[in-house]
Amino acid sequence: MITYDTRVLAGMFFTGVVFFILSGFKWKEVRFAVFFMAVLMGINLIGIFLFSPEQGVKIYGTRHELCHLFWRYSIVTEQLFYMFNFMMKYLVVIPVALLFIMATNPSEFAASLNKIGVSYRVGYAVAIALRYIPDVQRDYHEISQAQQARGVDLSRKDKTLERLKNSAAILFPLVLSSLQRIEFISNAMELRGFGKQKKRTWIMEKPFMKRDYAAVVFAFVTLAVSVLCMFNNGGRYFNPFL
Amino acid sequence: MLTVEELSFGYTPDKENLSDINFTIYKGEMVSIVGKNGAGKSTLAKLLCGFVTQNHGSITLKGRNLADDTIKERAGYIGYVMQNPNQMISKPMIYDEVAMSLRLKGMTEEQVQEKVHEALKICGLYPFRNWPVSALSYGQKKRVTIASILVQEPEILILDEPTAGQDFRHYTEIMEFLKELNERGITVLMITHDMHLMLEYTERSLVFSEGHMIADTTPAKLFSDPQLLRRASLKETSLFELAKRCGLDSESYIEKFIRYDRQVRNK
Repeated sequence: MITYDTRVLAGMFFTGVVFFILSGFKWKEVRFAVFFMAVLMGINLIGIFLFSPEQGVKIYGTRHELCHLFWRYSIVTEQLFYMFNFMMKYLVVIPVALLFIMATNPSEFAASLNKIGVSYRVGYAVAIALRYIPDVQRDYHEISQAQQARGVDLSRKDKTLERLKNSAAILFPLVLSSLQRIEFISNAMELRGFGKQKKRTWIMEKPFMKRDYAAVVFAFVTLAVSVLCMFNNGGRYFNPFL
Repeated sequence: MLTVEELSFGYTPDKENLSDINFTIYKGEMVSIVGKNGAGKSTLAKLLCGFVTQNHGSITLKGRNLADDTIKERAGYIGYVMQNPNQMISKPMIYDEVAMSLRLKGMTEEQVQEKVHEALKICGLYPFRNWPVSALSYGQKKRVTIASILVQEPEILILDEPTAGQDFRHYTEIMEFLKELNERGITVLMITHDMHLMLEYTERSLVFSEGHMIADTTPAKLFSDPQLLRRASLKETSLFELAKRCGLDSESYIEKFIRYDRQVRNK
């Protein structure tokens, strides 16, 4: 993920989307996550424009101003293109990341991490974090319903600002119940003697198969292509303005 | 007062978690909803409160269909106390927690205070009114959540496992408190696993199994029907077992036991 080359990004985005469709997951299952990431991306883009409105000019070396807004802000083609590439990077990551989270069995993931040499304590921590995403999601829904029953309006009838403010009412119990869960789990793990030995065995450990090697090769090929393009372009950026 | 007709619901389209549920709850009743885990008890409560929407069928309250009411509107007449109080409490102070729904309705601070104090008195939390929630025990938190629902003056109160995780003293406290509420005219629906609770405090039971309502009967009759008990995967209480082994009439024995137990406790 070093390249800003639009062509490479477009190709990767396309592959990612195809993978996602092939996986058979439904749009409904990821709608919320996608929406959340879209908001983050929006904030990020606005931030870029506010703090360095001429970043694109610096990168691409030319300046085609479309119109001037105010003070140091104007709409410049290079900046737009830079921000478009930036957005593409997000879009490339989103489907693949979602796929990873949804298709990975946390226990298998922990076993695999351990296999490649990561301490099993770290692997286990990662697995638990992944394991609890759906639980926290469910908690969030239940709490939000309970709050609505108490008269906190979160439905579409309310103003956005009001809704944001009201969402804070959910956070408090959500944090509390999450903390409580952490306590439960750490007690349960301690009771089972977690972390006493240097090594452990994994039920979910899976032997490497042909398609696993294929996936590794595919990953390296993708990396090689983006590095090649980098040399070809003489930098991380593909410049259509020259 | 509350009528449920041909109610069906599934979280996913291919599987129904509840199918074809029919019953009527009358004003002032204290009804228990029993069944094993996953039988659809909590789902029923969520449907009644509008947290989820039914696929089929209707819920009517006093002759009015509730289909178009939002969660917020339904909360005005059906109060739902969730199993886990930590999922409901959203304010650090007890007073604010109970006052929240009233303040959101836009009442003046005097009106709020009057109602909150009343609800806290009913729940036996008045002395704690200025305490932070974090200083309370689990059972007390449970009562805070009941108080915060009561201030909204619902006509029906649904409680999910009101006594789960309580010792016998708090169990008795909560149940006696609910009985008192019931005597004040609030209709009480309780979801429970506790067979003794069902026997001692409710006069009617809705039995759920695998998404179907398999019986609507009195707790005593439920216990005298071993086949029904087995279908619902319910266990007879040890009292019942004791009576049977001693060759006593279980129904009257349990009744006598409960009566005697109360007498001794109230001394």
